[in-house]
Amino acid sequence: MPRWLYLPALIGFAFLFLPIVALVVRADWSAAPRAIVSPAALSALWLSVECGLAATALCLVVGVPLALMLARHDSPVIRFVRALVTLPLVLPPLVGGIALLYLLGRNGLAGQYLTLWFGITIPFSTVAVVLAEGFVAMPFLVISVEGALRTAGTRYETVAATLGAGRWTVFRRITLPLVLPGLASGTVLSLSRALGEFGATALFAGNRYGVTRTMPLAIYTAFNGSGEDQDAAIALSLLLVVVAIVFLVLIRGWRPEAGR
Amino acid sequence: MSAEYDGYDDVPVRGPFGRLSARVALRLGAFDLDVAVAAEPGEVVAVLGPNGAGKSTLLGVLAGLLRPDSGEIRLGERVLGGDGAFVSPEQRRVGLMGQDPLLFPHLTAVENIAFGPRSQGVAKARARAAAQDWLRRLALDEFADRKPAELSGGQRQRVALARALAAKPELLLLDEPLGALDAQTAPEIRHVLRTHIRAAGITTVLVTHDVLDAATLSDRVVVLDHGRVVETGPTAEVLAAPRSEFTAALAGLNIVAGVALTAAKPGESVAIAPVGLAPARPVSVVGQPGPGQPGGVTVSGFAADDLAAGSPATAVFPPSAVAVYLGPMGAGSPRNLWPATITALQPGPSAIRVRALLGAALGTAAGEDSVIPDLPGHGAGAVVSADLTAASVAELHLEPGMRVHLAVKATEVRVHAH
Repeated sequence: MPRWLYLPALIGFAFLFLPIVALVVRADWSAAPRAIVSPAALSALWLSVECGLAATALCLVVGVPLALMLARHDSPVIRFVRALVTLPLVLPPLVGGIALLYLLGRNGLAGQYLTLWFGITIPFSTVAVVLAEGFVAMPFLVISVEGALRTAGTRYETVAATLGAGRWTVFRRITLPLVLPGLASGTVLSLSRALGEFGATALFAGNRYGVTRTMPLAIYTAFNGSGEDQDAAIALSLLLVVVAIVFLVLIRGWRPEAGR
Repeated sequence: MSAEYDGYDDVPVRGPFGRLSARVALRLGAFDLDVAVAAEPGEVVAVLGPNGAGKSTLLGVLAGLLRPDSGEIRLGERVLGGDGAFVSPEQRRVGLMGQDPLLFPHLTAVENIAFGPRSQGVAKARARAAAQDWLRRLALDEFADRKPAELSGGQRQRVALARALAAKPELLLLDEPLGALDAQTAPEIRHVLRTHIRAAGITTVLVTHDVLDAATLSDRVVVLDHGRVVETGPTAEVLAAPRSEFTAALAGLNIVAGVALTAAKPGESVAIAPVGLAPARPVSVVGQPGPGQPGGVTVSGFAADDLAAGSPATAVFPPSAVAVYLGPMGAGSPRNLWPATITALQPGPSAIRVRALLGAALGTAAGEDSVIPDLPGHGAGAVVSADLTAASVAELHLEPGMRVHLAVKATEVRVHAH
């Protein structure tokens, strides 16, 4: 490594790390515990956890089969599908929220029939939060699992078939265990992405206390809202930082297992 | 034997094993496979050929991993594939073991072996007991709970064999099973394969590019080149008297099938009596065949495997190790001195290959006008090749029909169990 490259490297690190330091320094540590256990904060925290877990479950149930389909087939159609699957990654979440609104909103492409036939209205409900989070989080899971599936290859599955195992047995006993490390890191990535989701949620689900106000929305409300104090926002932010660090450690913890 | 292999009684032993007959045509890009192979019940058929000959493609078709464009694959009463029929790999009961053992990395040795029975609906405890049985049979008991990453290459390959057999296939496919093993481990696994495949009595197709595998493991050989069968027949015949130059180049070794006269451990000296020839005592004084058995032939060498007295054995040695003598000689060091009759001279790129039929009873005295046809089946397994320089051949005036003596140092001869 050329020596002079260390300077931009350190600037890059400082750029990523110093904001967190500023947050920690600025925090009112005596008031933080009280801010975190306030009813508004607890409500946002639990809503975030519930919706995050639900969105992750949604990603697993449909994302793993989707990853399998993408990994085990190769055709122009599949390549096109793969490109579309990664679209939410590069799309601004706000755009995602608007798109969801125009699909599932009261007058949306599908939403109008949900309202008309079943009396179901999705926008600005907790379900909308889960869908918005799932929309932005699923690509992380699909990409991670698809990569693991491609690395694992089909040779073990072939051997399992010659031993008399049907497709479902092969999937359950060979395919899934082999991609477990990728599945685990994909799950953690999806969950952390879901917990931090703001843009799509704000547009598609709104900011209703106790119904759709998750942690990021609560922080935004506390920071910008009328008469609320910034200390609560900072305390909640620190809580999210801690949650993120826990997840990072979890992902790292999986890495050594992946080599075995 | 079959009773011993009934490891779990709620799955019937698959056997008697059926006959395999397959006609397969398949085009994969520029490659085109069009072959017919057959294996009698319990027979081990070796498919020999260079890389790209279509050996692995053929196995893929037999295993149901590739669909042939046309043809028919029959195993016993069942049609497994071909025109209008296709049985999926999991329904075929065709076991596959390759160069890479491909043990499931997340399962222990015993779980790997139990996988087949489990997948076929055998209860967990019973499948595990059967797997333990297999581990014992392959001397792997102590490794039952190890993951594949904690096993050596040879141990992994043994577990892979146990896993394939524990699934009770009706046909076993071996794809270069020794290909990835080092020189120390390969003979051990070759021995394990021979022992357990014979014990199970299962119809087997063995793909290999190593003529030694074919010589020591198989009953019959099918030689493939460019997707076509170029030669087929009993192993000893094809390898000892290749009809095509291609097979001769592939074989490149003298292979004499016989019976071990004494028991021997690997590395010990041992003698075998070739099939169809009267044995002589090992020649200690050169030029003196054993008393009472004039013209007898005994092949002395060093054991590559454990050999029991009277067990089938195969002596293997290179044509370059064979010297040709015209008349009686004085004492000399080579342990092997055999009377033989020259059947053919084949010019090669660097030497002339002299082919001779062992045994004095056949053939005529030197100088007499008689040509012994180099027919397969005629004294099969007792044709020996010697690579000589053109100058030697000219100087000795060697020609078909001449009676000569062949000398080979015992150190050049490896004796394998068969």
